[in-house]
Amino acid sequence: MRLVSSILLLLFLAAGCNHPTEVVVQPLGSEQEDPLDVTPLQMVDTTTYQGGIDSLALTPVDQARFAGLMLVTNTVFDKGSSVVSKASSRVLFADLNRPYSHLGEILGGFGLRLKVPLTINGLVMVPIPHIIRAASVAIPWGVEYYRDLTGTFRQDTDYTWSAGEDSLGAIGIPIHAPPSIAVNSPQGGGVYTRDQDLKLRWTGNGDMTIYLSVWRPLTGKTLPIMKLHPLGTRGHAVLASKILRALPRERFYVFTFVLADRNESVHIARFNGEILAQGSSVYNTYVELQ
Amino acid sequence: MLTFLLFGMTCSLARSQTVFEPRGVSLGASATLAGDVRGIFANPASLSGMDLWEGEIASTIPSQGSGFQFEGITAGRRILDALAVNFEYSPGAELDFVFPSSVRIRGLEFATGRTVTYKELLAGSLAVTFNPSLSAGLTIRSRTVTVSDPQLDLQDTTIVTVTNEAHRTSILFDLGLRWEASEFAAFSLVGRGIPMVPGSSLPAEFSSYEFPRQSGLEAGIVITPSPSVGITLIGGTLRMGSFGVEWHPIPSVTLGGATFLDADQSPAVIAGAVSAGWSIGPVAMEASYLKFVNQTNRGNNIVASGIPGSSIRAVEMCPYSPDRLSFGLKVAIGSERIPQVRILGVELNGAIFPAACRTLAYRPLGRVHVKNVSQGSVQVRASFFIDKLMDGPTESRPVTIESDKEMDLPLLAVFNESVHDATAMTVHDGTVTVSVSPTDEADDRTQTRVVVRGRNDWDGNVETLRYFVRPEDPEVLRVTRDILANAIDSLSGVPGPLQLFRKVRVLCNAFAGKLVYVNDPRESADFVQYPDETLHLRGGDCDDMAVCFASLLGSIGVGTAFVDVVPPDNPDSSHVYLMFDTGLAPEFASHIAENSKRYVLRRDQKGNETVWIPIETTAIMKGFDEAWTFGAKQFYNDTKVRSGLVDGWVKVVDLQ
Repeated sequence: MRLVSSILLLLFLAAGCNHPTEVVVQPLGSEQEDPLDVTPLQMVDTTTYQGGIDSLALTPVDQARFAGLMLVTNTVFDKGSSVVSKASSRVLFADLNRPYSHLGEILGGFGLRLKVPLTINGLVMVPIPHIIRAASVAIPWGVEYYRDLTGTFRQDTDYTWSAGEDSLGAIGIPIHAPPSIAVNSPQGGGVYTRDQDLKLRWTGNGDMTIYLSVWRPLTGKTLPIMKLHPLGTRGHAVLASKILRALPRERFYVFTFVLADRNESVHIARFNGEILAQGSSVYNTYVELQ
Repeated sequence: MLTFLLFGMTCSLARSQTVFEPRGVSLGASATLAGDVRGIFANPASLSGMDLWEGEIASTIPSQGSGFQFEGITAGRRILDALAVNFEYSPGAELDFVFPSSVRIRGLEFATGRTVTYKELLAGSLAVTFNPSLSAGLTIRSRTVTVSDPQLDLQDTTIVTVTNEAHRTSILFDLGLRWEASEFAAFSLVGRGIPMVPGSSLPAEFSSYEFPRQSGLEAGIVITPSPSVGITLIGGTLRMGSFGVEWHPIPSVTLGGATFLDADQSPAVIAGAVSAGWSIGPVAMEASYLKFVNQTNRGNNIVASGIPGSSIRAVEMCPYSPDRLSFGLKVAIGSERIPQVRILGVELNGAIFPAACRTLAYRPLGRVHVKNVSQGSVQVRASFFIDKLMDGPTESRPVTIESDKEMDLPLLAVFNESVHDATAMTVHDGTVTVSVSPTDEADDRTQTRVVVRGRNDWDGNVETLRYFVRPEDPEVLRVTRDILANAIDSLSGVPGPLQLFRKVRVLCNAFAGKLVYVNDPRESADFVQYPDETLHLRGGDCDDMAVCFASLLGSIGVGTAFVDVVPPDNPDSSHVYLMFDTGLAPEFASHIAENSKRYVLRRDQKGNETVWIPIETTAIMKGFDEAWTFGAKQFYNDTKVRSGLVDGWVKVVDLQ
């Protein structure tokens, strides 16, 4: 009997060694979401950061890399109580042989002025001072070209910058302006908790990139800290609360949705630096995270 | 032993703890019925009914699980008669929830899902038996909820995961009473979660996962309308209950079924279960299947806004517990019954005289005073044993004793030949045992000192003197055959009716001048020689002579009787002599004696009268006629003249 008991016991122990199975709990009303790839960005130096994500869809890396910038941008600033749309084109040819340095750091090159008019889709661009900001001081450092397109901007349209023969050579560079973006979530001026996942909802076809930046209303500065890349085109993604909790304990943030058509291989005959031509749609939604 | 140590498991009820033990699952309230190690959670007082060692191991196959799963193990032990303890380890009493979540960082997937684990891992019980019908018990059990929620930490351009875990262990007490009102009904009362000793609380963000804090009273009844059927019903202030039935179609097979109820759910019947069990000797195997009515949230994947801890009143019986097939293996080792009778005292009649010890197989050597401490009437036997002097315990006939009544049981003894070896008085341990039929297990046992006298010791009672008479003794047989063989010529012409008389005369005369009257060597009237000793020593006192000649005459088929004389005016001069049956009918008495005072007419058992002749055995050294004359005179004087028989100071003890 003892032998039988021992055998039965061993059978029980040997056979019953599985662990209780986990119960997977799916949240109610969950939708199919595009995966979201998160890339933390290096914190910018607030004393020398030139800005540009929220207005020009221009990252600090772009600013450091490209001496020539040819941008046409349609931007929405959604703060809930006010929604402002602006469209413009900016062109800068910076001479890196004449850099502006601050505490040993090169913040930019001198903005070259063409001897012939520069147009975009036939509209003459106006030369304005190229401002470099350093330690809250704005320093004019050459010129850049600007054309306000508010009211005339047309989404999903080709734009071409043109200029006659000049010291840099003739210019004829096209770019496609992507469709406009509408963001449903998060809503501008909205207050969200870090303890819950944050739904990201937008419309606008294309390869969306979302920049998450700290927004400091008093200075108006936005400091990008994270790039979010939805791996799909459904316009649905969720930013996990665990990501939100990992963010700095700043109160205000801005989500910058960017659809951009980039051309990084633009060549102008006698300009030495790399040139970026970019048409972009930008939607900024300003939120409070608790 | 290893087997035993590893065995164990318990059952439980919905409102208590684990419900993996098959019998508990199938019966619902079965543990109240079980009255063994499996009663730990149903009612800790039920432990009082368990054997010396009990253990059980259980495994299950959950409907949504990954196959055979070890549920738990329990082991319990009785301590003394009134205490029982039990410990349980139940790793299978666990519910794991995963809230899937992940983040993709620089193309790499990081799992950040929250997990919530409910465990009821350890428990222990202690039961106390106040009397056979009332017991109480205490269960201490633990339950733990653990929440693991990995967090992310943004460090410049990298994100790292940080462990974030919180857990809370609560200790709960269940206090139970069990009252067996009769053999047909028992009642159970359990206070659950009283008091509750909570551990540190979970952080506020996890507080919704806490176990519910519930305390309440639970009452149950067990009805056993017949020995093969048990019905249980349980309910209480926790608004949960169960109804179970157990049936033994044959003693080794158990079939059961149960329904579980919850007044706070719709429908109120939340689950049903069936079971089958089989036992052989100390091993019992059982299987059960538990099926829940509401199947929502019982799968591997569920959709819910969250898991409210308040709904998890018991891990094994909550809205998320799966249907399951359970198997249990229970082993009881070293069975120890609750005594049903107690020995109150033992009284022996006196010392045991080896010569008379054969009578003790039928005549009590003493008695044991016992009391029935059980609830019903019992059949009780008493046994007596002396090591080496007896080959085994001698049992008395069983007698019936009503509950709470006392009775004397006789103690009998069958001795072996060793009892005759001692020449002097010895003292032995005698073991007295009482047991209740039909089991062979002792309910109570005690020892008593027993004085065994030497082989020649006599208690002075002429009735027991007969046990020294040994006509079958080889020496006696040899002596009588030799004497009669030598006298064959003188006996050959004797008429048949006188043959016995003449043989006795020859025999007695053969000892004339050869035996000497000698007082007891130990100056005691209580020393009696066996006939071979008297023949060997060629002498003895009156009782030795009477025993010797009773043996000699008996060996040739002559009936004899002791004549015991204890003169009332002088008891110290008591005397024993002999009379023998000549076999002559009264009409032939004149052939041996003209004087009727020389013989006595006595009737045998068939009513036939024959002629008996008294002989003074101490006078045989002078020849038969002298012994006859002396004996006849003595007998006539004592019985006819002084009326000794009538007055009772003369006794004639037949040795047939």
